[in-house]
Amino acid sequence: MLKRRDLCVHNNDIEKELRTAEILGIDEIGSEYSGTTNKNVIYRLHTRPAYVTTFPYLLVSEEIGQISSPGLDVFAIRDYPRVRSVLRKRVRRGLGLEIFIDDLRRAEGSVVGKWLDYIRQIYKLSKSTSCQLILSSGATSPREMIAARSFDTLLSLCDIDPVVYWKELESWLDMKIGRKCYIDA
Amino acid sequence: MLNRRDKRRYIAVWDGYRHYDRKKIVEAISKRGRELFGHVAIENARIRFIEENGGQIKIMSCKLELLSSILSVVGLLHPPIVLLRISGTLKAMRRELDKDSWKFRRALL
Repeated sequence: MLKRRDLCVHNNDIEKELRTAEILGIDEIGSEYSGTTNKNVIYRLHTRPAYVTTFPYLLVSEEIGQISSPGLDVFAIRDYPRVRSVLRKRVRRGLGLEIFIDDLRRAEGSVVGKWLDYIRQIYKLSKSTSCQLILSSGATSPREMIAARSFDTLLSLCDIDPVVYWKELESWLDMKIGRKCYIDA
Repeated sequence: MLNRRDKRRYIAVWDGYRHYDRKKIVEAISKRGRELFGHVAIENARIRFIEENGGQIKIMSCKLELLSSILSVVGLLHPPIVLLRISGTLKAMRRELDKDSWKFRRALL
């Protein structure tokens, strides 16, 4: 069975966000670590922890300067035209390239059209460089989360087969998180 | 010529910010939809507001053939609304919302 994941939901009330995710057909969410851990959450960290963790995590950055740093798992793209050329030259194999739907939501209609084209370009780039496109909601509360069905239609709108996307994301996460040494509590 | 009725789908959305009333929500979806898919497609989708279920949950309907376009528009609205359920009949939609009402109360309200 396909597992659908929204890897960026900002942590306001994680319990409520998990309950909302269940209603929306999202199996796992990604969120900031705030000291406690929950099932079905992958934590987003900005620096590598100095010790073995008891939770799955991804190292995330929005800084283009950090794109080549060895431990980085996910690079969040906020302004694609600005980082496009650097991204093409310096992107590393296996890196996750993340786009927030929240950025598209806030944009004007013509800019949304451009963003959809950028997503197509980033998907092509990720295919040619063995990276992983990640489409996340970037929600700051349950009110802004995106349903699994909406994710599927947005992916189709960008000419990406949702089934292929969710399978690729699953195997990418298995590879990224499975390789890290954390104790499954 | 056969006079067949269009197949429609009912969609329930959660307006957590209580930003939209029955007129505003159809206008907002139509406006964003026109920006993305053009006037003709959105007029053909025949989006209709049906009813409100408990204030924050709103039910609308649209033509089945343009459902995927409408679903992507729902995901791209600002202020955001969240797609909850899709159903082929209003009766089934009401039943489903009723069945899951405790879940919605725990998570959404």
